[in-house]
Amino acid sequence: MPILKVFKNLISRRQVLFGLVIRNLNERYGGSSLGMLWVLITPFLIMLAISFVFGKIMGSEMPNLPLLILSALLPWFFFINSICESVNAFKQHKDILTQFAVPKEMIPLSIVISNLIIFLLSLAIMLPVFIISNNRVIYCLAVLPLLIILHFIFTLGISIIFSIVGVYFRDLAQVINVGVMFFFWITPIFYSSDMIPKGYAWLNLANPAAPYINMYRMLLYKGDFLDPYLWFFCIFFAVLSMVIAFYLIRLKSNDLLKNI
Amino acid sequence: MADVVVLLKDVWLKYRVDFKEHGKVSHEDFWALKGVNLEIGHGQTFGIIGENGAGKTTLLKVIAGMLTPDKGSVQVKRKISTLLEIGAGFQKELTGSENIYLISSLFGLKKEQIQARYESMVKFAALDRFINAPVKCYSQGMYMRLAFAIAIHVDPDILLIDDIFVVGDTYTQHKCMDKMFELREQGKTIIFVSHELELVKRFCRRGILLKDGSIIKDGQLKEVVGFYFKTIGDKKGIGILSGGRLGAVFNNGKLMLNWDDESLTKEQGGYLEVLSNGNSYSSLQADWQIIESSPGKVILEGRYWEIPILQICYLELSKDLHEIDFKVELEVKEGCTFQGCALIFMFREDYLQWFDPFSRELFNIIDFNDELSWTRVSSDKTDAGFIGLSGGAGTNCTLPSVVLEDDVVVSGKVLQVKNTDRVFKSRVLESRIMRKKNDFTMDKIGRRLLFHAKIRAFDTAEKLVRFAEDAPGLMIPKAISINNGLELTADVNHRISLYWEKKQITSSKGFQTSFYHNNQIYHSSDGLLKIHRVREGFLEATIEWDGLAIKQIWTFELLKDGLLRWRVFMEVSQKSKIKNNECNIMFRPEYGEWISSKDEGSISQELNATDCRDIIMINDPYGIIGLKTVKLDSLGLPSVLVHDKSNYLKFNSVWKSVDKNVSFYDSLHKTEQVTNINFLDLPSKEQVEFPIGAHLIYDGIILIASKNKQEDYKKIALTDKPPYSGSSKINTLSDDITIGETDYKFNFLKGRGRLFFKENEATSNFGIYTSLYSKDFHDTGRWYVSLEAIWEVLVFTKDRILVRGSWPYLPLVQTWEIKSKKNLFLWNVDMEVLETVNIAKQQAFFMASAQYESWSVADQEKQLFPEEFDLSEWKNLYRNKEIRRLNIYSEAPSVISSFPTFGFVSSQKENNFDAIVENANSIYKSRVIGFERTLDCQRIEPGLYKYFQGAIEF
Repeated sequence: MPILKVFKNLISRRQVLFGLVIRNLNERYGGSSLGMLWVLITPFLIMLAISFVFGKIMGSEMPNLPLLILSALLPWFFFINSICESVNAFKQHKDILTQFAVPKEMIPLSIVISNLIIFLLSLAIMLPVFIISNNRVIYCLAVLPLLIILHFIFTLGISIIFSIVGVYFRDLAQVINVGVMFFFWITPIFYSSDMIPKGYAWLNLANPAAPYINMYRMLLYKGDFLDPYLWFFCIFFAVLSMVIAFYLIRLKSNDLLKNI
Repeated sequence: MADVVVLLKDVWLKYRVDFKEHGKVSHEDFWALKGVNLEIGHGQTFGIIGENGAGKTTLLKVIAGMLTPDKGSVQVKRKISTLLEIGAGFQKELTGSENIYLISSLFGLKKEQIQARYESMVKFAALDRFINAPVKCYSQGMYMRLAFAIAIHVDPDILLIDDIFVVGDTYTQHKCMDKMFELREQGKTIIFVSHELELVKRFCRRGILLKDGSIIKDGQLKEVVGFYFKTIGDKKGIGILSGGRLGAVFNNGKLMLNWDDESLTKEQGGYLEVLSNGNSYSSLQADWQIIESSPGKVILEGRYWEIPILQICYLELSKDLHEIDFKVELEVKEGCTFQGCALIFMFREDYLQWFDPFSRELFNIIDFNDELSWTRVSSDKTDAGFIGLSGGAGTNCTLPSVVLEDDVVVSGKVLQVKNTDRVFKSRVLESRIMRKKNDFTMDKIGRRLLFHAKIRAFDTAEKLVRFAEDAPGLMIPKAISINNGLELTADVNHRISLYWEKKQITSSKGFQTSFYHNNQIYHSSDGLLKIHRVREGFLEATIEWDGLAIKQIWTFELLKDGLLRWRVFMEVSQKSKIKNNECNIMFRPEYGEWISSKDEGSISQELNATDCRDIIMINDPYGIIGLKTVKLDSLGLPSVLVHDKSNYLKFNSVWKSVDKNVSFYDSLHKTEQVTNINFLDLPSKEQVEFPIGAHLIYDGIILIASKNKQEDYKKIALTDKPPYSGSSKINTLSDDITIGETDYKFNFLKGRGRLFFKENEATSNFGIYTSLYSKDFHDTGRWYVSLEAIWEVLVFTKDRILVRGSWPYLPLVQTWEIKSKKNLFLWNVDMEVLETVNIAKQQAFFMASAQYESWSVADQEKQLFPEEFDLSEWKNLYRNKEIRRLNIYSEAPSVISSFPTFGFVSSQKENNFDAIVENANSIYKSRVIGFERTLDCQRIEPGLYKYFQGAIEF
């Protein structure tokens, strides 16, 4: 099984993966004096900003609006940052690919893991806030890891796809730049999915990221996890993205380095 | 092969290239590797060479597993580590130490493994405190050391190294190279790609040559490199000389020499170094282009980007194929300071012996310097005609001896043998020009031939000896001889000596010449003496001086009857002012008696240790000087006779002196007594300016008379006929001549006038003479007395004498005219100045016999001379008194009839002479009367001057 072989290879080279992740994190926070503390500070700053803008300026009366937004925003950051970094990943890690015999898929993998670490940290710092504001959330924590794993698989799949396509289709980076904005607004982040007018419900279906975001919101904000449809979509998109990703790896991994 | 670690089978790999032409984009497949088959055994050092774009790096990447071949299979059985790019993966913001952890983990090391090896890595990288500084602050060299340190500490079985040695300083490069050699010894498999062919050659045993993605040669690396040069070489900046056993490859500024398949040079081979503006520029930095190329001849042009200097190399393989001719011209395009230049050859350390014309020695046991400096091993003698190396053993054969010669005489050029530092570990032969202070010729715009080196290889010792015998510098004494025991040898110290029956007659300095040019004295011993042609009984030597358009050619010819003819030619290539040509023959100090055609004497005297010389002026009109030993000493040295046959009048003298002498064999400074015979050109109008061409300035015949021919020697010296056939100048020369019709006679002999009354000489010692005081350009003044001059008789009738005299080193000629009248002798002295000269005083004196006891001035009263001589305070000087006449009288009745009264009269119109009356010292015991003029303007321009006009009345 080629898929098993890929996994075996990855596991045997976990040291390299570890090094790459550290390298990625270093690249992001290495020069700054606060370093990884930014991961913890950022969500609070966002929360402050949201409550100021929506609470004071726009005068929204939604209860706990910052938490509503944050519960979607944190996983969204994880997802979108992974993809944006992956698009140029091979190009940026060329020196590593040509110097060290690293499996190609390890590059997007390391990026997604780095972002996952950041996401988990910020989630961990925010979790008490979510629990305090809605104590039902505490029951949902049992299923949260499952969601994170599905979300991770989905993000990894999309990242691998984009990183490989990005090598051959250089315009992808620009497309992503524009696409991020579009998907940001059609994804229920600053609003909940039930705010969408009936006629536009298909938007939710057309956006593969939406089920994950909605699911996070259910778990973290509403304290509810019983939505079979959403779970189905989460599993479906995760599997689909990985299948496509593996297909691309098989197809292109030999050819990749020649085109960077 | 049992233990194949890398196995490539028919590997094909393509790149897709997008061409954007005329707005259309087309894709084309470009095959970087075409069917590569490779088998590398465990522990092999494997080199991959080829042009840029031949697929070397691609092949490495395929082996490393980074690229997957489109066709074919790759098997790698051991752990691999790569060093393809320097600093790949480094995180600029992180410190060296953090990067060690990071990169090591990328290589797949666990944390514990890294910790265990950390110390060793840090030690190799040698970064000191910088290990804790961000790598963005690192220099290339530091970067490289760190990267290299990590790569080798991954503890791979196979190490792949791409062309990384182009960056970094030499320290780093050598440190890394050393480590690579160490790894090789440890039995690692190393696959190495480099453009430094010599490095690959030295490092790898096996290798392949790639061209356009295919292996075109696979085998021993030596052969592969050779094949590379033959096939791909002459594309750009690479010239090959081949055909015989000695071959050369000129590769972009460095010349590699090889003998059969062995390379003789290593590291940078032969290269040029130009020192300009305080920096040194190696020919390796230059951009080289081939102007002309054929198997036997290559012309290349190298351009520096940094300095406006163009170098042109002419390489030629001699017909006998054992010699490479290497000419280097430098063209200075625009003004730049130029401090020197060197042609350097780095040879293998296998050579154990070096030699130059003076010595042949083993290299020291402690060969190479630990510091990064090179040590000179050869002597500092500047005129070594060649240097060479021998005694080397190669892997398959003994290395041929190599010799470097350089024909071009450039001011400040030295040939040297050196040892490099430990890093290069090479023997160096170099021809170096160090610019002398105030030498601005180097800055001149234009093309100059600076080096004309010949590199010769000798496969047998006999050939080397034969070369050394014929070489311009001499390794083995060579001689010309005739059967009766006379032998002339030129030895390793460039001295030419004369032997008689194996006994040395000349001192160690032997034959010497000197001359003045541009207010400087040039000695033959300072020049570069080369012995050029030797045939039976004939030897020719040339002497060149740095930066001088003047060359001397000496010929020695053995004539019949034991005669040796020494001729000295002055060859001038541009009109030059030369004066005071001197030719010396330095004999052994045992010679203590001299003889000339008119006179003989002794020169034995005690000598001080310092350079004191008491010159005996012989002034033999025939130019004959003989020497014999004081007593027939145990050595039984023969008498010698030297006869100057040249057309010029010469001042000749003999002296004994102590000379310093350096012997190269024992390297001791020795002093040595010599008896010197000297022939000196007198100043004359014709000789001041030498026109272009060769001029014979000395033509001497040396006769050796053995013991039983002692009488012959005397006879020959005293006969009027010189011991050879040919014309002679003698008839015009001074002799003992007398005029005067009455009882009063005037006799002229060697610059002094003597007055006779009947049989009695009224004059004594110096007689009637002139004396002038002159300072030379060194500002040292001395008296020039007419007795020291050499005199020629121009006119001699019964009442008139016209003689001309000249002094050595004094550029003027004096003419005396003596006319006999009824009761007086008129004495006119004229002076012709040939060159501006300083004269402070001019005198005309009458030194009278001590029989004269009183004197008077003009018509005044008589006065008595004091009895004592040596009275320095007793001197009557009549300054500005217009005294024109001095008289002397004898008083005693017994002598009054024999010593009549004389009057010494000055009749010059512009009379500014001061009259003088004094006693001579107790040696001469004479009365002196005369006239002296002190000149106001001491600079006398060339021209004719009246010196003195007077008369002696009786």
